[in-house]
Amino acid sequence: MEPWVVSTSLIFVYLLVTIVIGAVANRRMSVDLEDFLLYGRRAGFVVLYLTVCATYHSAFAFLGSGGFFYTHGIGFWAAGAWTVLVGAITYVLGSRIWALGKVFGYITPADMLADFYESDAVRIVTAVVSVLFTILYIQVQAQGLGYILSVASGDRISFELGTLILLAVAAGYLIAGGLRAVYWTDVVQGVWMYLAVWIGALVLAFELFGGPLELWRRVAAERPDLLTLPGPQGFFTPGMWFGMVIVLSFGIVFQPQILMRYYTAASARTIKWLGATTPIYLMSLYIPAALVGLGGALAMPDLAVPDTVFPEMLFAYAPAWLTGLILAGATAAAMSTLDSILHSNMTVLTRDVYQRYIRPGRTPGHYILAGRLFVVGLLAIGYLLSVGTFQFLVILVTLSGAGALQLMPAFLGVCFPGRHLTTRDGVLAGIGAGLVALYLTLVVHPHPLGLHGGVWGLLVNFVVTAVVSHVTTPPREETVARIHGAVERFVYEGEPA
Amino acid sequence: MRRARSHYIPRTRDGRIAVSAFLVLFAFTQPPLVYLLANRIEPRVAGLPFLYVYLLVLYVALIGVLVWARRRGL
Repeated sequence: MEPWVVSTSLIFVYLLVTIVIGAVANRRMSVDLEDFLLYGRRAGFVVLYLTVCATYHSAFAFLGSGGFFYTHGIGFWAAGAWTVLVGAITYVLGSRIWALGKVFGYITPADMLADFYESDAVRIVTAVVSVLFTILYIQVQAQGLGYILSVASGDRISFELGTLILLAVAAGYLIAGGLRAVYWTDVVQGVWMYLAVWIGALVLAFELFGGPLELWRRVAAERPDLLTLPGPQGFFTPGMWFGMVIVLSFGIVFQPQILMRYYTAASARTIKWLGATTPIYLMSLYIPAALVGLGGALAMPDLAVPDTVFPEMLFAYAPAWLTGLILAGATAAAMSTLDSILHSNMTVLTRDVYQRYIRPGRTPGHYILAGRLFVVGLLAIGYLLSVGTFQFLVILVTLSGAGALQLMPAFLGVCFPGRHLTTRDGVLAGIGAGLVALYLTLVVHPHPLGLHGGVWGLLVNFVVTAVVSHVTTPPREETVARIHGAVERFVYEGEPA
Repeated sequence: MRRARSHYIPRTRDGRIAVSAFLVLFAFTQPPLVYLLANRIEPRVAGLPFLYVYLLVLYVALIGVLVWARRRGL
């Protein structure tokens, strides 16, 4: 059987598995908004662990990280630091977000901020930032999926058709089973992608070099520039190292698809164990990625597109069945992020826009139907963005990674009682100033003084938030006492009722 | 107006140990320390470059701090 038939067939087998899971999830679903949007706040440790890991790691972790090691060398091992930080943030901040969500029934990030800051403006700004800076990831993931299917089939399935098929499958099981379908498919995807990266990297390391240790020895002998900082092209300067650690930890956590996962945990114990142990999966996925990227730099030194190093090496050196299994793993990596972003954007649009401002007071079934229609709309937008070329998108994609980071001061003000209160005006001014600073330091004059633009945006945001909060009216005493009191009771007196 | 006490300062001994250990270990994974102390290939550890192993050990230790905190009920 020809290799492309094996590869494409295995990807379609994988897609069939996700569709079956979506159908089963649909049979378990009740007509309940919390069930559809938040898995009924009943996610246990294993399910939550794998969905958070699979959502965090996208097509970039599967394809892009190998490309980074290939081009810039060991500096990308800084990835371990940001994944450990994700665990610590989940432990400390995620558990507080979970507790407040449980006590006050929050569904979206904007629910929490609007309640504390007593402001519809905060709700709208949070919803806009949440959707605007993540909707473009639909495009990024969809393009990755189209590329994978196109490569696996030897261009017999066009990029456009591949993108459409995979977007439709992800949207299909989300529409059918809501967040339950997303979580269950993420479990399969999380296991599949992890095994695929490790197996693929080890097979290539043994096939080409006789094992991982010999690979490292050869890199040290032939390309020592890949094993020290700042790397062959001088990319990993201290400012860039620190900036990427901040942007790719806090910046990802404050995206709605991760924040909403905190609401869904079954207990405080679940969310804290999640924080303590997610870095094991997240960090260790970059160990085989290093083998792929650095090994590729020796075996295929002249690749035009470094991000293709993994599939190119597989097609050249691995058996067809293994290549198919691993490309299905790459599909899983992209789809598990894509479905989560589709779900979070659907939830924000349904809850923060439609339910609050367009059709308030309707039945849960009405809002579930509205959510499903939003998914269809997002599917269409995602497809059009994926197959078209829009110049303004280049700027927005550049800003995306650090956009959600601008919500950080607002969340800290809610979840961490302190000597000074953060105010509505402070938060709005801080987000506005932070986004302007982000545009200036990422697009107009990238990374001033060698420090990542995302960090400049966050610094400006914090300063403006603090100064404006100091001179403007804080939330009412009852509101502060209610919400900060709940945080105090959760942290120092145990779980909320 | 009665405010909740600050949550930025740990209140228990275990809390202070966990936060201090995490911050100190994390500082060693960041500039300038990582550039000053570990930016080299030799000496290799078990055949792996020094920088790689240095960071791996710190990452594992940081995860250990988080697991310890959980086991202490923090």
